[in-house]
Amino acid sequence: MFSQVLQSILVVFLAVTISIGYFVAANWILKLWGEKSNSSLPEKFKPWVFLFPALFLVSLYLIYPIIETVRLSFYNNSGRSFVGLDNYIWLLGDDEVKVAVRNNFMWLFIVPTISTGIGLVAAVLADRVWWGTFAKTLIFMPMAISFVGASVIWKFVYDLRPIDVDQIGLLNAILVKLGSEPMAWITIPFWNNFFLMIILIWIQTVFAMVILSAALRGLSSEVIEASRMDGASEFQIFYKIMIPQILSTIMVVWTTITIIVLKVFDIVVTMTNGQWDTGVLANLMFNWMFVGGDFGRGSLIALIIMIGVIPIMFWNIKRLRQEELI
Amino acid sequence: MSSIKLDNLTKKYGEIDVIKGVNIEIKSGEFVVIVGPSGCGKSTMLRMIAGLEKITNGNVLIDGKVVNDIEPAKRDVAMVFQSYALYPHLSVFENIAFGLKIAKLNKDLIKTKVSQVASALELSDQLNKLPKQLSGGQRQRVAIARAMVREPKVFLFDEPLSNLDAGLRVNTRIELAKLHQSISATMVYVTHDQVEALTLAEKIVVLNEGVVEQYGTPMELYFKPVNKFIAGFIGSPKMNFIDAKVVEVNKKGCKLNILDKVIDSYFSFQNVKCDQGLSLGIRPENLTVVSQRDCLFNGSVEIIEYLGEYNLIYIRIPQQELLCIKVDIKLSFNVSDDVCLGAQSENIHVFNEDGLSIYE
Repeated sequence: MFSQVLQSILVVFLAVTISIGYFVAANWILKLWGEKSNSSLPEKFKPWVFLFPALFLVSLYLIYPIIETVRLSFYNNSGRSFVGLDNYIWLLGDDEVKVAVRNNFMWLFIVPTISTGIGLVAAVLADRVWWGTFAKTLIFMPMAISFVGASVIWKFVYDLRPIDVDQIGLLNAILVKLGSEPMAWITIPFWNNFFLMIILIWIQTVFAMVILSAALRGLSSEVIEASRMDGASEFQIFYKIMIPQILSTIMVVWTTITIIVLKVFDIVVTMTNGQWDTGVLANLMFNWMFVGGDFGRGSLIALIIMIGVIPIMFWNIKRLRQEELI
Repeated sequence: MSSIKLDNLTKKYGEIDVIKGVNIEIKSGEFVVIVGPSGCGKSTMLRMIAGLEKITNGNVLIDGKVVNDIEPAKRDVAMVFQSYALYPHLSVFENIAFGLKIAKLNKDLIKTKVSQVASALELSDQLNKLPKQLSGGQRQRVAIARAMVREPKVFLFDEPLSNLDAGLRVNTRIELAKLHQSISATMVYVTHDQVEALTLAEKIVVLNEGVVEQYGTPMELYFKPVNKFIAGFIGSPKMNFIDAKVVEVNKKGCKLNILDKVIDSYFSFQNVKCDQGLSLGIRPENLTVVSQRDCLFNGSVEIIEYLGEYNLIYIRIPQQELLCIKVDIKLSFNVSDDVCLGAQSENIHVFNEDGLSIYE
């Protein structure tokens, strides 16, 4: 324990010393070079000298793994012999992959939309009632819970016991009280996906609400009063005056949740581990790579996820640039 | 055009009285300025006329009809806000047209109306721009255009010039006066700037701590202030006040003791008793440097301000606030010069111990 702490301190100390040392040394060398050569070359070289550490680390931990993943996707399960497009052909024909892609699309469309929608409505309504702060605190709770923790909680909600035993699952307890048979919720094909999505919606609504609530508070009250003077109804004020003004925030919230959804993994693992047609790509990748030990197919699925994220990232950055321009 | 009547209008925020029973009648087509120090409730009063603020007690009547519970938009009033409150995501055209679109007017009609108003306010070239691409003065005009296009019976202005720089403020003030002449709608204008009030208003309401101190024409307020507050509030630089005491009252008038010196001549005001304490109010332009014979009191020059057109001289008198006098630039003074001050009797405002005016 003590030696570990000592080691951490040493690492921190070394990292800072190396950074400062690099800065001082680079400056010193550039200065010497500039004095001797009398050309503008050192000045041009300067930015690259200081960019180098960042570029190097990004290449090492981001670019290299991508290239390696692409390479592995053309190799067999051990990653030793080249198999050409075999993995790609398997991908196109595999039923499990098809289900995972379908599920991913459903998650992508439903979770960000509903989270942002409910978050927006909650943000608007919470500002209007005296118990708004209490409501916000209540909605805020899930934010502090990890995905796995949230999944465990919801597992209890969906829990199934034989009919002659007391139901500890909330949903089945209600069903049995109403005189029906208890149901195995997370095994119901197709719909079970929605039961899993609810967990992420439950968590992400908070995020949407907090950010949108802040954006709404930033709106000028005089502008809203002006629209009231112009005869706009409460609903018209909401969608003609408030929404357009916070649209960029809504898009940021929406894309942020989209990216979280693309990486969804823990909820599926905890709830079903991909059984009963609930698998998603991240989940499938993990199973092939680390459970099945197939480096080729695992890498290929990882690539598919990355390709899925790129358009959203690209669009996000483009939007950001546009906003900076205005 | 329409008249407005405030009938015992009251506003409370919890236990705090903001407006304490205001009674005012504004005639159709009149330009009325509500003026007062910050926090006096003038904006609250305007917002109650607009319908943006709930009325605690009393009534707001427009054209003789109680509008207390009528929606802002249905009162047929338009408001220009201090921050302009333009819709930041809409173009100038859409900003002006917003109310008309909500009212579901015919598209061609909207276009004609907007372009008419825009050309009247020299905004025709700006219609496709967003508010943030406009200058302060242009934004101001868009805000006015948005109010005008609905052809309301009443215009409300909430300190519309306070965000403009000094030069633009004077120009816009003149534009507003012209606007009122051309459309002759009833206008209620809130400001804390008494120059705006004096120049724009046909009538001024002076509000102080939720109470109307005086309601009258600019000239009435200037020449016949009902109390010390009005006297000090209207006019710039503000009126000087000097303590005095009545020492003798007879048929010829009364004799006063000003700063421990009994003045020889008689003052013509009645309604005073012997030994009564008074406060004399003299505007800087009426207080003059005089010879020893006409001297009411003397003091020494402390500060001289050169303003080009005239000079302001501040004079220290024992146990009194600094007095300000407005003098011709040809007269030269030096700091710590001793001067005798006097004023024409008709230019002296007299206030009793309660601060109320005493007139002959």
